[in-house]
Amino acid sequence: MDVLHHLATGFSIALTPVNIWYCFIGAFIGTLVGVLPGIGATVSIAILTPFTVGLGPTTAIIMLAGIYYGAMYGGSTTAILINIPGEAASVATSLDGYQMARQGRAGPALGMSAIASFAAGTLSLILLMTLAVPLASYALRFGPPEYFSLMVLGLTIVVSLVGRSMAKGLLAGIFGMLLATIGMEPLTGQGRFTFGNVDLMAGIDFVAVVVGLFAIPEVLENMEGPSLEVYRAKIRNLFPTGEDLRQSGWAMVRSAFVGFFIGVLPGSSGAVAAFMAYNVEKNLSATPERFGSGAIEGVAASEGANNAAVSGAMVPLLSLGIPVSAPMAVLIGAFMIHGLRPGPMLFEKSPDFVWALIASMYIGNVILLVLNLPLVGLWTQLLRVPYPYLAPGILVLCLLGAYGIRNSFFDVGVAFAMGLIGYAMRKLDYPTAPVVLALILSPMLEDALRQSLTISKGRLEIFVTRPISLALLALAVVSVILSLVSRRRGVRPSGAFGEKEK
Amino acid sequence: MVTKTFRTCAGLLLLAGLASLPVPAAECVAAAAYPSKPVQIVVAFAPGGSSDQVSRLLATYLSKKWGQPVSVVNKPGGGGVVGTAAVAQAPADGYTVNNAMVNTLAFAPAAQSNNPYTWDGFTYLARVGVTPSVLTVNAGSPYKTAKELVEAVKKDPAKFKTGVSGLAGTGAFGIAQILQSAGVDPAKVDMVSFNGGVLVVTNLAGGHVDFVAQQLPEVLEMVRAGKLRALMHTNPTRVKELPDVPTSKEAGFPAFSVMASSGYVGPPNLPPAVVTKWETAIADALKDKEFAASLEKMGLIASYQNAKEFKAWTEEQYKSAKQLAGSLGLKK
Amino acid sequence: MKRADIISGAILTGLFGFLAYQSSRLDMVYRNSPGAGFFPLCLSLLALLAVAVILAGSLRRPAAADRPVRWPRGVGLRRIAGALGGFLVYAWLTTLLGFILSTAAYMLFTARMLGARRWPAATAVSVLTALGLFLLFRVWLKMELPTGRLPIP
Repeated sequence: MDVLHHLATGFSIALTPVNIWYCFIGAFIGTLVGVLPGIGATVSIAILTPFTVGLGPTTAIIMLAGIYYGAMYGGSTTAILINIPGEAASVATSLDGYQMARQGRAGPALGMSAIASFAAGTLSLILLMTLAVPLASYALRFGPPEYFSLMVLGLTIVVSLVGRSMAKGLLAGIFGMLLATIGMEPLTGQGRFTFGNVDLMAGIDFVAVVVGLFAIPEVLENMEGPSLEVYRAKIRNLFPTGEDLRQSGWAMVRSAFVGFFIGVLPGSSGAVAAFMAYNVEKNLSATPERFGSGAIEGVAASEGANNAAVSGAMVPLLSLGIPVSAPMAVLIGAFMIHGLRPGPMLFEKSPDFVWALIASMYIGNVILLVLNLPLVGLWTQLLRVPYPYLAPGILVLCLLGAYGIRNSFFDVGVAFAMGLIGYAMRKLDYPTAPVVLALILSPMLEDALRQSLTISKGRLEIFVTRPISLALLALAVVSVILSLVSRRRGVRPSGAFGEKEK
Repeated sequence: MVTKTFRTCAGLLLLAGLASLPVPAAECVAAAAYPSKPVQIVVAFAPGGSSDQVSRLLATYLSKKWGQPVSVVNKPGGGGVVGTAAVAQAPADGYTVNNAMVNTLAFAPAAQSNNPYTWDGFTYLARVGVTPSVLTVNAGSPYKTAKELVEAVKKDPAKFKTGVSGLAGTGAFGIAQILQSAGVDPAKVDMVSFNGGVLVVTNLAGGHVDFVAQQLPEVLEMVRAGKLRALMHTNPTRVKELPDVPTSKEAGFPAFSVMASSGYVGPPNLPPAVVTKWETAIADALKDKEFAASLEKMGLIASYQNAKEFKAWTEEQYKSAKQLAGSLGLKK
Repeated sequence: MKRADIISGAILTGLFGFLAYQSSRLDMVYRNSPGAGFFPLCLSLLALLAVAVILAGSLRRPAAADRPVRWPRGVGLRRIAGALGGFLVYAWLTTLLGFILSTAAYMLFTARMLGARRWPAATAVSVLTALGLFLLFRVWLKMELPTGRLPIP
């Protein structure tokens, strides 16, 4: 009952007109920067923080937090429409969302991502309210061996992303892991594959890789045919049908849990959560072969999970003062500028602020749903732009997205090169999604491996003698088996070529 | 149709050719009244970090003071080496400067092979402030003072694990300073390296490592909440955030002195007028009440040094780092 | 696909072989944990193994089960070359002419190449897109865009 009492107080603060207004502004800006590649939540929160100094601390943080979860709503838009995930967290969304757009179902995909974001977002807030305090210590129990096993579990998703050839899919994953090793080795600072080049020392940024592997090959492939009708199918209904909702109902609930619990862990991210939830749905599905060619549950799972991860990330932020991800780190900066010290004492010292923030996230989720559903119609109109204009427009966004990483043309070059590689990979039947997944997970895997072995003085038993780590490894084995089983089932009935229609 | 397209292109290329001719007029004005055009502060880290926050604060202040837009450009990557290297090679006109941390300026050149710049390959402008390092243990740890901890480590170094963020950082060097001065070989204590100070502190709170020497703002709230215990810090005087924690000198480890710093440098051979302009601007900023208050909220202790002092201080840090790097197994 | 697999297999063998060699020159061990070279070396060797499996698979595959790679040809190839070449020129142009002019020019060039018929419409769309993107990214969201040497952005 204590919780409800606090929540009531929180709502009474969050529901003042000025706070609703700023919550709306934050959500709106978030949607916008989420849609646009090359500018993400992290950068916009950092840039806008100084402008919030005149506002009261609660109002300011409500707005800045709105940018964060708003970006998660917006990130799916370009992922679905033109295969450019605006944020890492939307990569998994593009796998099925973009295929839906090509089949004329961009509307339901966009609608579903808004609905799933809302449903999972709201559900995860309930988890946040009830579990924040006990979960804080759970987050701390995750040491290096647990992270290692979690990353192994994450990497097993590669198995469910491989295409027709297992060897080619695995090679794509290894390629992604090798890409991740480029740059300065984090412990000693030794250069790996840098060849004395300063830009290479910074490593390969994942945005450049995603833009290159996903968006550019798609544009190129669409130019091949004599006709440039890419979104050939007529745009059917704008909103998900009852059937769509039925199919995705449980996916939303499950993704709320998966997203939330992954989100709690420092160092993990919305992208990991989204991939994990996607994989869970694929493995549980009766028709796993539909995934990758326009399964709406895939969109729901991925979008639901990355929003739930935001609520999860609030747990260590509010109860321990630990930022889980880059946007959270910027948010902590904003807390401090407003004289709030995020840490174990925040709940006790400024309960009104904490509960107002949580209440504002409920409100923000409603605002985002109301804001995004009408936009679905507008976005789908974008696909009616004649392809001769749409194609160069997409390529300009690619340049902006890559350039925006650190204001350098090096990343544009990386995106371009990845575009060529991605095009060749498609032609030669190599899947590209494993590259991106491995690129995201591999640095954490290597870090955790080395940390664990330092702690255990070189003994590998550490991964199986710690219960959480052992459980995660067992899950990884289960995940591989499930993927292999569903792969068998998926391949057999429709024959070897039962993939997406060309 | 095709020919027409290509004619347009040819026209554009010609325009491009003209634009690529050098523009001598613009470069002469630079010296006249600095700054006569927008100034860029390069931050070698992602938005949100201390380096970024201080620079955005300063950029706002300077824009007002100078009447020229001063903007912050983030060039993250390679532990700050990439953005710093970019400034080292920028034109020496004072319109590209770098927020320099002691890590990027002194530690990386001292400890990392193939570092693309040297510590003295810059024009030093001024130092804004410092952040002391704090020797911290978990609240459940049996060691109440630095002496007790170090004695125990001395007895059985292999029993202890410490958390750092990379070997060429304030955390690792701080620990090496303590251990060396107590006659323990730093190589005997396991160093677990995490991606960023936040994860180091998280793992200390979770009991996965035994002690760390991270920066004050990173541990402050956890110490106040009683989850971690601070044993000593490197500020020359006691800090008001943690008034009961002794300085390293008081605790008997004067060698433990490493501090993170935030200051500004530019490419080599900047005109002296530019240096003076920055020295006075930063000195004035620190006298500004609002600026100083914001600085404090970020956890940075204002500690001005002019160009000469800043360079001398950095040289000291570089020499000390070079000597420590060997003991950490970093080869140069 | 068979021929393409064999050729790409040869290239990949060279690439991963090179990476394996490069990583073997890094430290393998740092105290009792893996060094800088350990992870990349393992990965390169695994990659070589995967390439070998792919090569073996395609050599064993009967010609009948093989599907040819559909490489672009004719107009498709010309479009792709135009779009990619244009992209490189575009990136270079932004450093000279600034964002707005070069974006408009690239949009116009590519749209015409892909068959946008009328000049006035194509020009209008290109210029408006460039201006719109500038407004959105630079003016409202304060993102840094490439700047040229001309006085216009």
